[in-house]
Amino acid sequence: MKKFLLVLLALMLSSVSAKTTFPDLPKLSTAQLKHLLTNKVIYVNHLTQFQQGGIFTGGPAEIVAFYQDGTQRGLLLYPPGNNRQMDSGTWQLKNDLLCASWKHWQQGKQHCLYWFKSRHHYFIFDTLGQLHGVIYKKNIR
Amino acid sequence: MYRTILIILGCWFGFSLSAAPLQALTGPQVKQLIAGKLALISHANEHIYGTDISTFNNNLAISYFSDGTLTGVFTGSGDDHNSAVRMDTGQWWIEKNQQCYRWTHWQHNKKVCMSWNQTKDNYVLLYGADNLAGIIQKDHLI
Repeated sequence: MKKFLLVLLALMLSSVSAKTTFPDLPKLSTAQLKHLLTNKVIYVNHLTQFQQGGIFTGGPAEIVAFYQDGTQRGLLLYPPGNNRQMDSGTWQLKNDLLCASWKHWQQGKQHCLYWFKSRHHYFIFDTLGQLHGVIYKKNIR
Repeated sequence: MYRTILIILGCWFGFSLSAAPLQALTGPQVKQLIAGKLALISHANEHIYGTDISTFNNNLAISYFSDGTLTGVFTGSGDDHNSAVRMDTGQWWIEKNQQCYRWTHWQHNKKVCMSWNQTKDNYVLLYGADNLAGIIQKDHLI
């Protein structure tokens, strides 16, 4: 756990200090992303609160299902309760990037993300080197 | 007077009940409804949460993939962000007018079948004739 936090902190600092610097971790290729995500569900922890407040408290969590036909469906788990938000959209892979857009979330704009892997996690960065989220490998099924 | 009121109330309740029954979906309807969809289910698994309806919390998300696989995520607490969530995978298929599934780990890897019934705003999932398995708001199946 301590090692994970150190890695996470290093990744966060590197993404702040040099926006186009990516972590020294293996980056997933388009083929690897396709194999990893097609017809799979991921549980992702976003790091919004860390980036905004400078203190890691754990950001919103989200479930995303990636379907073979290029559609995706998501469920926002934060805040917990009976009024959870769901949305659908599309996803595609190009140049080692996962590019996804939602119908409603994120104003429907397409966002492209790189995936880097460590021993137990995937770290998701945008094209500017900003860390967006962390996914435990066991939380991709 | 009272007799008239009772008759009116009786007719009203009788009409209400007959106008809002559970409408059972056929197998093809269920397949078309859920293939390639994500559902958020208010789960009523008595082995996990008891049968008290007050324990209902939108707590199980299931993705029904078109290839017959499914993935489930328990989302009950929703705030345990730093540990692995409870997930499982399995298979789903249609038998007659029931949707059947088998999780790899959950429910002891046993085959389970249930019917899908709809009301105006919800889908009601039943094991057998009347054993409640879960409820899905229609806008929680996308």
